[in-house]
Amino acid sequence: MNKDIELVCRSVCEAGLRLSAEGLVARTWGNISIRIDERRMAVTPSGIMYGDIRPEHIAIMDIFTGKWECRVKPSGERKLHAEIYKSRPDIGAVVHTHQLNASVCAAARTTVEVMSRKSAGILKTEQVLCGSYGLPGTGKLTRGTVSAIKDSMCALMANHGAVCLGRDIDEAFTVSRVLEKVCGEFIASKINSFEAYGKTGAEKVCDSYLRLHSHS
Amino acid sequence: MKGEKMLKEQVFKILEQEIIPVIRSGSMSANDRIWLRDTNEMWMSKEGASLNEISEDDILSVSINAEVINPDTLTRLAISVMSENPDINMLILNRTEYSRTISATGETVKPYVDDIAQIIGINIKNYPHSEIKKITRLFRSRSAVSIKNEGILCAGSSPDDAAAVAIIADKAAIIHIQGSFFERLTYIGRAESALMRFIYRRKYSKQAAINGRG
Repeated sequence: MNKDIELVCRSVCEAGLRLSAEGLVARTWGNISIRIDERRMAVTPSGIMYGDIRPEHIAIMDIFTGKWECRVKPSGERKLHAEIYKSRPDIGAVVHTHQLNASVCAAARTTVEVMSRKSAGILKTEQVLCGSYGLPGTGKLTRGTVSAIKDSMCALMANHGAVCLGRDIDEAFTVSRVLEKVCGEFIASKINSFEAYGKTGAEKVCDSYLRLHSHS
Repeated sequence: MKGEKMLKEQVFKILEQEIIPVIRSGSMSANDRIWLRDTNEMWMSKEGASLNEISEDDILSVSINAEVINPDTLTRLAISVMSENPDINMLILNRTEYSRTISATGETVKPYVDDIAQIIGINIKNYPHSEIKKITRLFRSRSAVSIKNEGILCAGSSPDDAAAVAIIADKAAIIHIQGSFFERLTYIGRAESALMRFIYRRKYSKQAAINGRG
């Protein structure tokens, strides 16, 4: 393996551990890719725990033909990663997460209003769009998600999770953290309590829910 | 979990490695309960014990096959689930705020995102703990069942597997509750959920076989 490619594969493995450690995914959920050059990307495998992924499990895939080299099958969402790199030459890394707040918004298939100017600057949008629903790994999901990203750095994937982009892997992680905060603030605005989102404020949210439930 | 009986220290080690990190992440609570199969017996946490500060006295060993004298109602349920479902080796009763709220309302939780469909199944139904037979049967096709006013009972073939189910059960309860404040909350249809679970389990069993070969 070429030394530069080996380095990229190592970065993908490290990013997988980070994805797990930051609570953005569990088990084998989610996937990561890093662009190698104009034509190729390195992408995580399918069905292997992040802690067990080694550089030899990282597939090198041709973005244009979809052909890949590896002894294990790459992620089922590899076409989504490839389409993003094709349409966005400025992007160097893509992370697909199952983060909690974004998942709530993705299940509501809602457009998320970005309330802070700083966050909007990082996400490069004032509205995070939700792509149309499709089964995992299908062209329908890929097309819907890519069209929801437009020129921004992220999108929600209906009943699935989120996809976050970056010029490099660090930026992709920053985008996913900011997206989680933005989705949390948006959920809180719906619940009408700025403290109550994510795991914090659970008691308050559940009390409001039980009141709502008893009246319905 | 099969073969020689575990020592209590090994049970503590499993708790430390698989369960405590999930409690720290907030996806389980310290007053959750666990039941872990060990040969023909099972290790269980006492009702009221804090998993964060668990002592030797808080962990008990009971037989799965023989008649247990005065088991608490949840342990009676755990014995039934384990004896009828040989693939289930660990049960966790998830009692986070969200899980308890869902169990109190008695609502069925839908597969709002694909990881719920994959790891839990087509839904999380709610039953009182007295419906032992119905709950036991549900675990043939699902990995979690909501127990009225108790929380969500999560099953796995290993502690790691059960912990993953507990994480996703809590996530499902959060999406159900927080999502209700939105104009609409969508979920994946029954047929697609079943398909996703089938593909996921096949992928996992292949991976387990590869890991087993080393």
